[in-house]
Amino acid sequence: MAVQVPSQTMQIAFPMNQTVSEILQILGEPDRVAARALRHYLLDVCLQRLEQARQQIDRYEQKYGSDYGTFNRHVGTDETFLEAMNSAHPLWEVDAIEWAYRVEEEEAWRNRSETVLRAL
Amino acid sequence: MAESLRDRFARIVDLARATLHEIQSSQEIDAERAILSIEGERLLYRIVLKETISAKGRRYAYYILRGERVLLGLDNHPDRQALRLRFGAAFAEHLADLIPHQHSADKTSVSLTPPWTAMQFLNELDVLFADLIDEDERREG
Repeated sequence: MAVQVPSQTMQIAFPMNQTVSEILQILGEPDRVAARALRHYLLDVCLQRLEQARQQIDRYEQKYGSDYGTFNRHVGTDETFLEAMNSAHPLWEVDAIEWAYRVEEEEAWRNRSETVLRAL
Repeated sequence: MAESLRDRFARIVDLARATLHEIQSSQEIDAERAILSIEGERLLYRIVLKETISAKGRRYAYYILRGERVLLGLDNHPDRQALRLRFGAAFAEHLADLIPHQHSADKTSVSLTPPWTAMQFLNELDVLFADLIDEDERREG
């Protein structure tokens, strides 16, 4: 279906019901446009997962007042710090294993984001 | 990997539902890593389980509490006491190692253990409870 735009000087026809394939052709060579769209989608997913991991990490960093590496070093080497954690946060190990997990997860999604960005 | 982990986590959650009440659980599984959290109650006790699996290994923490008080903890996070028990003076060289160990009531002492699994922990809860009651009775003389 086309909408006829009245004009005293010219008539322009705008197609209203284009297929995806037709839109792809307008944007360029369909295979290249689709591949580029896929990379943008992957980047979007990577950044969402990266943000989710970071939010979890932020929660633990605020609770324990440090980044995971510093926290892990202190509980592994500093007896006074360890006693303070056992007293103030007796379930800190339950947090620590998820904290470590989220740090690994963030690193993985950051690496994936960089891989996709290089391909764009 | 993801499918077998999904099956394994499903078995753990099923056992938790059969063993605990007031249960809350969550899990995330993808091709490279997985995390499972379960909290519930049994008798007078609160049970907290968390387990993660990744390329760095299987991390776990299985705890028995009464209210906020730790009565028993099983985990493999490398804390200083566990590291010293395992490695002695060279403990600081092993901060990335996973060290299975047990915390006593109020985390007043630590002992090394073989690695525990969530299934084993849930299956042996009543034995662990009996040990806790025996320990309380010994304390009270």
